[in-house]
Amino acid sequence: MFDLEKAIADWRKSLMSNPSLEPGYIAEIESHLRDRIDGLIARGRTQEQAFGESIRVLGESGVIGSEFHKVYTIRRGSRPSWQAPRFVPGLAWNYFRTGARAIRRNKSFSTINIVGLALGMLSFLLIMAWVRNELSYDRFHKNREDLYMILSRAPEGRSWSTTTYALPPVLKAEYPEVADFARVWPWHGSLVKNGAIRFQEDAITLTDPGFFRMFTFPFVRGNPETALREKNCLVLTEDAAKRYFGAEDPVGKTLYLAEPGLDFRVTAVVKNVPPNSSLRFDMVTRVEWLGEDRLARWEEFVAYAYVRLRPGVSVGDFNQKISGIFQERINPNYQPKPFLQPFSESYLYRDGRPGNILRVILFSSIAALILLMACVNFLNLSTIQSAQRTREVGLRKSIGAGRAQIVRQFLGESLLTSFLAMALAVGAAPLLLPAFNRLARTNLVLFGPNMGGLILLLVLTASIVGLAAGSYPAFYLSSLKLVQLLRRRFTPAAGGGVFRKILIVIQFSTSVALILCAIIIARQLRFLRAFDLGFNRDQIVTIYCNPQLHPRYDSFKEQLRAVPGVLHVTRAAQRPLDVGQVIAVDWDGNPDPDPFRIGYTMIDYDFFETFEMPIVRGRALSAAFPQDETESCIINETAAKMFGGEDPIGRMLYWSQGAIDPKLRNVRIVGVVKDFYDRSLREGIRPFIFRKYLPWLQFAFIKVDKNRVSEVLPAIREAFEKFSPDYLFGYEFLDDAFNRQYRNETQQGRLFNVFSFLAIVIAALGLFGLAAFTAQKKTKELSIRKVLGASASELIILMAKEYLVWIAVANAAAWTAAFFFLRQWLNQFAERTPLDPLVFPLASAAMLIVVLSVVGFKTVRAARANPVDALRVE
Amino acid sequence: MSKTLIAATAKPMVLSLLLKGESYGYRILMEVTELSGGTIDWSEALLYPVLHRMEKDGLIRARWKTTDENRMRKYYSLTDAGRRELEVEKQHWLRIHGAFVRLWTPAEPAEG
Repeated sequence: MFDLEKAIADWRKSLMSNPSLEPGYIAEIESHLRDRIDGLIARGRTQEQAFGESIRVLGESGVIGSEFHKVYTIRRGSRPSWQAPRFVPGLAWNYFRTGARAIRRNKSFSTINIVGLALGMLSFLLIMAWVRNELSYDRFHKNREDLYMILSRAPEGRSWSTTTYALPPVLKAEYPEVADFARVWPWHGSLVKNGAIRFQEDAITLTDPGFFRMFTFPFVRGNPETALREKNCLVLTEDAAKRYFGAEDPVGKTLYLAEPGLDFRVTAVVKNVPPNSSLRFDMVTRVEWLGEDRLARWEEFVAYAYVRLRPGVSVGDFNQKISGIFQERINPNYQPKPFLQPFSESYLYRDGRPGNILRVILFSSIAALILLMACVNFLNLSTIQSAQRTREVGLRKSIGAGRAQIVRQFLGESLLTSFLAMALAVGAAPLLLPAFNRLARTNLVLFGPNMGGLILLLVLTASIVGLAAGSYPAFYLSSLKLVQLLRRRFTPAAGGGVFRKILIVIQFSTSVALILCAIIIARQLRFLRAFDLGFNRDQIVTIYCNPQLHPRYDSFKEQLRAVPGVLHVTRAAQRPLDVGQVIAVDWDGNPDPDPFRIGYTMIDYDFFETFEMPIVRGRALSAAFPQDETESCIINETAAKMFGGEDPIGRMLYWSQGAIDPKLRNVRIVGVVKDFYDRSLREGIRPFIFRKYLPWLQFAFIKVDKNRVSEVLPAIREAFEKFSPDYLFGYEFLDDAFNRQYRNETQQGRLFNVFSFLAIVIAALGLFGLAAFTAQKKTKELSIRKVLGASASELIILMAKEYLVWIAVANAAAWTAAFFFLRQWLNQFAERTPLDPLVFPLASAAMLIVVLSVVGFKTVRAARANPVDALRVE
Repeated sequence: MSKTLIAATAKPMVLSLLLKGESYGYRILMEVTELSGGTIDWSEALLYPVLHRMEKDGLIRARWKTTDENRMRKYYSLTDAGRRELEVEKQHWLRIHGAFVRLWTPAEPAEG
């Protein structure tokens, strides 16, 4: 049954909640309501209908209230007296003081929190500095939109970065789309002299005049048009110019280049090549020095070549247009096809395949993960910390703080904290950058151009993290009732469990995965260094067999052989580490219509003895057999298989490469050498052939007794200077050159070490916070258990148990991710260390130890605490 | 009818209604509705604040009376200041009314 009086009483109560309605007003409105109800009843409504209709007409109490309020204020929209002001300037200092006090009360906790976030941001900044550096390669050229590199593609899809020397001029001459071209041979080395000043230069780039027109290397003296007009022009970088001419103006002066043995006129000086350029040089001259016949070759894929297309030309169409050019020029069955790749991509997509870009993506994701971890930690720790400030919130509310005020206070405070962390990170980054550069062997700059995006990202991160971290006290605590807030002990709500579990999974899986990567990469590098290449690379001194030394090599060798401690002396066209050449050979009875492709290099006597490469059949080359001078060759075991099961010794091979003297095209196999690795271990073993052919031997190798290295080196130097007085002595140990092949991997390994260390630190901080939280939340439970007789160790297990499942999940995720990544990474090596399953639990165990030592501290303290202290409070 | 116009007319309307004698909120509301044939629909949230403001400005005075049904009801009546104010308002409104009437009366066709 509807009770009108009760309904009116309830309605009256609801009006009373509005601060602007004084009792007198309410009485008046009530009397109005009753009049209206009476009126409606008189018109035949029931009491209930009449009441409902009337209060609907009267509307919300808030509306009436605010209208009443307006009666008594002069300014529209001014703040009613019962509402807290938006901002009380007098409170600013108080906010600051209470904020600072909260930090001071929990010094270690706050430090961990702020430093942790700063560390995450710092890692992010450093990694991004590296990423930015990688991405900035070759982007500084003004014409970069129109610059392309000419690549080649085999029919099976494999592509590589070189083309033939004959192609680019033809493209320029016959295709109007091509505005300019430059072939680049960056490896010319020569002794360079200006009077008494002489240096061995190894970075002389031979190129076409288009080079400086296409690429933006700012000129200090001279200009791009005239720089390479004549064949003996020479362009220097500022550093090179300083080496030879000091403060003098080098333009118009001459430099003597021992190779080709002529004076060159300096026509221009350019600024030093920026570090993020993939084109590197100290000097530049014309490509014609490689020899006209070589430049005319259509089948030798050794040239790096670049073209500039006219603006607006579609590279896709152009690639289509030139795809048949080799087939037209050489023969219809010729396989490779040329194609253009944007020059700015050539560093990240080497050989037309994703290369460095993969590292960029990998490390960017690691950076993002570390930052995410740090942010999540900050959030978690801040929340835990602010849970201790319930009474402050209670007090503020009880003396009149509005909810909005408390929201603003806490959001402001946590924003300030997160920006403080950002400031710390940005401030510390330049200080730590040198250490990072040393550690990772990089040469990064932190604040380059186009920093806007990165700064914006950090500011955004700081803002989001700050707001999110402050939202717990700001929105949750401020919404609580005074009674709850002022109770003596307040434990934060049990919610957020999922959040914390995600936190654990992220922390653990990232750390474990990074540890795994660090371990496997280190193992693989160790494995590669220890790998038996099939030849001995230890104690081999490599020197440059310069043109002056070359004709007097035999006397040089004789003199060295007399030195005690010199075991063997030989020479070859290439180091056995990085033979790039492939030729085609044919023989009678070759079942394949095409000639057999085989790696080769030219060597001198004593080669196999020097490198301790065992001859498994036949014999090595020797001066005792005059025919070895011209027609004998040695093949490796893999090559021997091309004859099926037949004995290869004594068989004739026909050299099908056009470049070689026709008289020397027939060779006879005299020996089979054991298989060996002639390139980096990314590549496997391939068929190989050696012969003696003198014109091209530029490396001399001296095997030295390992106990007498320090005596032998001066003797080598003496002999070198005696037989080539014009040249500067320089040497390298072969195993250093070997290790240099894995510089990228080594750097990657170092970066992984640094990052996984950072990730572990950050994860440890996060887990520390988590443990603190658990301990805090469960203080009472633990105390009661303790009173009932549980031991400290039982309590620790109890607390850890909650997260065990999630740690297991995290490990599984980390193992899977790391497994797939590492398998992929290892696959680039022909020889690799097995992905030892033991490593996986090892990495997890390492992480667990870190965690336990961190978490244990907090947990043990909670478990050991006197239960009375915890229980007394209520 | 627009809210501003209703608000602008509220004061002279209340003053005019109270000229007949004292009255109370609900009746004022009913009378306004009746007078306008339902086209002017005041809400309580409009009326009561206006009454209070006018009371505060000394144009009307209020007193609580017990009704026949033994209920409390607040009655408003004009003060002298209220009467004067009504005169002023009346002048204003008549002037405005006159202006509109002249504007809307069809004019004599102009000569020439």
